[in-house]
Amino acid sequence: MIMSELLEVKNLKKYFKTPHGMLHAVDDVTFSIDKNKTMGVVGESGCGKSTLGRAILNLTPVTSGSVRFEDKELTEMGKKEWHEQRRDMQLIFQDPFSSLNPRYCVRELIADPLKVYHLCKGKGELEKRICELMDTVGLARRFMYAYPHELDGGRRQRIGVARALSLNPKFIVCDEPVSALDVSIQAQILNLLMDIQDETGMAYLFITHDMSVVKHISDDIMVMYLGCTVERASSKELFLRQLHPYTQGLMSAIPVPSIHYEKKRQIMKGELVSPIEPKPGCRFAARCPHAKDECRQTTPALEEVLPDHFVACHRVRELNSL
Amino acid sequence: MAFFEVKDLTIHYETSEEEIEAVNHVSFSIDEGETLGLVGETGAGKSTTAYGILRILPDRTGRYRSGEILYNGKDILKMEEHEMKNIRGGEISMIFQDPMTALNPLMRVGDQIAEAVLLHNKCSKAEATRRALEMLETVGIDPARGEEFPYQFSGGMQQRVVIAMALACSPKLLLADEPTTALDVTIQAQVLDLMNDLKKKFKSAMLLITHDLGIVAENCDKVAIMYAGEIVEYGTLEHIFDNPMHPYTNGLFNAIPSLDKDTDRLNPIPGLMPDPANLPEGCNFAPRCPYANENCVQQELKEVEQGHFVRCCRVNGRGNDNE
Amino acid sequence: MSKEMRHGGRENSPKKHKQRKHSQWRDVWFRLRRNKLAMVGMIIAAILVLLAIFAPLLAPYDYTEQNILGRFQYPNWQHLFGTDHLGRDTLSRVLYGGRISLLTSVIALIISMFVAVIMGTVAGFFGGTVDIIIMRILDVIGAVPSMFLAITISAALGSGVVQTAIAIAIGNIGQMARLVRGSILQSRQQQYVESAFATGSGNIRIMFKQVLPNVLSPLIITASMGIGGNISAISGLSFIGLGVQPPTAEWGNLMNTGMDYIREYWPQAIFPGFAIMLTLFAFNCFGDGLRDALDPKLKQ
Repeated sequence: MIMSELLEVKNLKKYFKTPHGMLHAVDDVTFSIDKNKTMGVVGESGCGKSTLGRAILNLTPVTSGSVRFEDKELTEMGKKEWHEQRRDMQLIFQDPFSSLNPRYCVRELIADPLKVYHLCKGKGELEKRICELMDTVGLARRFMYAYPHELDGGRRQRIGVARALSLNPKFIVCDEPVSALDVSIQAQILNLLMDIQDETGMAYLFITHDMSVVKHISDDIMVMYLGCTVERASSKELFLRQLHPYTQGLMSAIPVPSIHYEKKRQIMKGELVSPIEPKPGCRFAARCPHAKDECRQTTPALEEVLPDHFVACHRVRELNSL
Repeated sequence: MAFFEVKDLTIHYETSEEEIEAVNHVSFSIDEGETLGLVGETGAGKSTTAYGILRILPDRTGRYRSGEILYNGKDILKMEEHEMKNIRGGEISMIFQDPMTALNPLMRVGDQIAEAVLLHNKCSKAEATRRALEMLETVGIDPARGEEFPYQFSGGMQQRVVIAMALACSPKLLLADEPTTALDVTIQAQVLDLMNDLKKKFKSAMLLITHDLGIVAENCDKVAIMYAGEIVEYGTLEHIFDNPMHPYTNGLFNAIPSLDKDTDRLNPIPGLMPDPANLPEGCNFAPRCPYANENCVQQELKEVEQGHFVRCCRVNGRGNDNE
Repeated sequence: MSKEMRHGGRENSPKKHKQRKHSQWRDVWFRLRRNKLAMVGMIIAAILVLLAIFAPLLAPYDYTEQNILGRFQYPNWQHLFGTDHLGRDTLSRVLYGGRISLLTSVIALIISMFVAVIMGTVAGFFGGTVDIIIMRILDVIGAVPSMFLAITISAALGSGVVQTAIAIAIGNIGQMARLVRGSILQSRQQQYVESAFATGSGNIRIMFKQVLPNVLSPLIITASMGIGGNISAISGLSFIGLGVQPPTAEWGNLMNTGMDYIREYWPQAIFPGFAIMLTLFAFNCFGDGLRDALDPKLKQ
């Protein structure tokens, strides 16, 4: 069990200084990912899911907490060590338009990481590796000298995937990799990511706001709200029963493409506020239909309510009659 | 009798290099109080259709090649510009995808709505302002916030302001171009709910442009599926969701990861939508169609059952022979 | 089933495609070529540059050769532009003057670009205190009207080509450095910079490979527009007696001398003035067209 754990995040906090006070973008998040597994992170914009991914990859320094990767503590690493570490940990971006430099052609874009780490000796080897990567992500060789602006969103995202794969990482943070794509293309990229996982045993942290996508690709799912984990369980378990009122609201808000699907519509009132200097108490209390005084005063801890099903809610047992 | 009808509308963009065939022979009709969902992927010509209806295509490139747009039996395309001004925002108004671009950042939201009212009604400034604040309340915003500027509102609230502006003159037809795409799901649910309530209240009809079949299922009465500038399938909600016949419609349904079923692999539609500047010969969907053969030719929309039209030469009048 | 098929792509044809390297610059050239005004500007500018370079070969007379008896000649077949108050051939003087004007302008441009790129890049890339200090220095320079600044510096440095170029360049640095800093700040926020960082690139590599190339196109535009502007500034300086001094021919001082006699004899002032106008027109047209070609989104 301990052996297969690839990434372990413990009490991770990331605060940003703003003119109005400390913004608690990620507040005390704990989880772990095994090899060959996908952890889905779901939440609305501003819930801290992207910041979480970037904090793990040291693209933004963490405030406190621990991130262990293959039993190495990442938060204490220096610049040199991180440079080596990056080979194992990569990132796929949401926007295939702005994440590729328009001045470089596909070949140069894919070759860049390889050149940084001097992974290929000689032109021939580099060429071979680029072709190999293009094959893996399903990009035709004839696009080798094409520029990003000549390609559609799906193909651009394939370049992004190829860049991430070029260093043979063990773990990839996928930050909304399909949100900018049309459904038919989205399915192509999701299949690609799953195939790569099957072949290489890669682990993913899959960040998205789309419940149906996260269900499809994840083994475990973590639901975030204003920087905190509100619910975490295996994908199967979570879609079988949602215990946190926010997860329930989120699920009922998703429009289902079927006209025979009767669901209890539970429209959540209010909107997300930004978690600047949050007061103690449940952060969801302001929008929660079941909030009581207790919820507004003390912060609920993430508890294991059912086996491997964690929920942060004071009233979870009472509301779900467990 | 449908009060709004688009007949054989063809819109091309003419640039010095090429002719982009954005919308080709599109026909549909909307009854009073009805919602028609216009579904398609990026570049299918959905937005161009909406812009075309309001005659707000880019002057330099947009060209109407054929068709008429009948509003209460009168052709919008033949109207004088001053008549158009009454139609735009008064009789037909539009909600854009990105609320921030639809609002003037330097104007208080209350004044913006009031201006929309003033433009189409003969009333005093005070009356218009009163109406504006009323509208803000209707869309669930505290009227006191009418004094604020757009940037002080969140995305969902901005979209509410845009909706208030669009509905301020009780339009007969609302063109909603991906009104919730920029919003989070929980906010999307709120906004869609609000739009449906208001639509009933103001007895408006709506053309809802979206790429999300889920939104269509929950909000529309009729559906038109658009692909490469053409409507490939058109029918009631039941027709499209229970008996989809066009291979593209089926492909769309199969590509969506399902929330209630477990699927191991998704079934993407192979390939890409053709470049509208360079459409293929024959059926536009044929290059991606799993059932296509060399006999697939350009096809007219065919009525396969009462009110259900499909543009596919392999679907015959009695049902679907693709299966 | 091939891998591409499984992922839904259907694009790997068995034939090996000819690999073409078709860069953005080719698109730019393509767009530029269709802009008639820009092409006219480019051709005129090119001719002017060639005329300046080959002035010694083309000039019919030595530009210092005086002929007091033949002074104030109106244009004729011996002297196409006429002769001046000392009987020197105006055509030869305008040709040689163009040499000095263009040379000074280009030197000024190179100086200002060199300093501006360094200052702007450092300010934009490192930000913080460095940025504040550099920008405040530029603000101080920018607070003085650039012509006034050029006059002061020129008066202090004395006359001569390099001195004049420096005087003009200093006034231009502020605007250019701001431009460089702006596009660096903008491209630093692009996701591809974060992407490069995530794939292991260091600061220096990111600066040279991801950020600086974006500064290129605004810089090219400013440069092509700047040449014209510099020429008019240099001529202005010479016109008021600073800058390049007679007997060295320079369009500004040619015009200045010509102005003394303009009531009785017009060619001596008009031809150098016309040369300045033509140069400004050519470079501005070219620069305008270049901007549209480099950033087609602006126009459409």
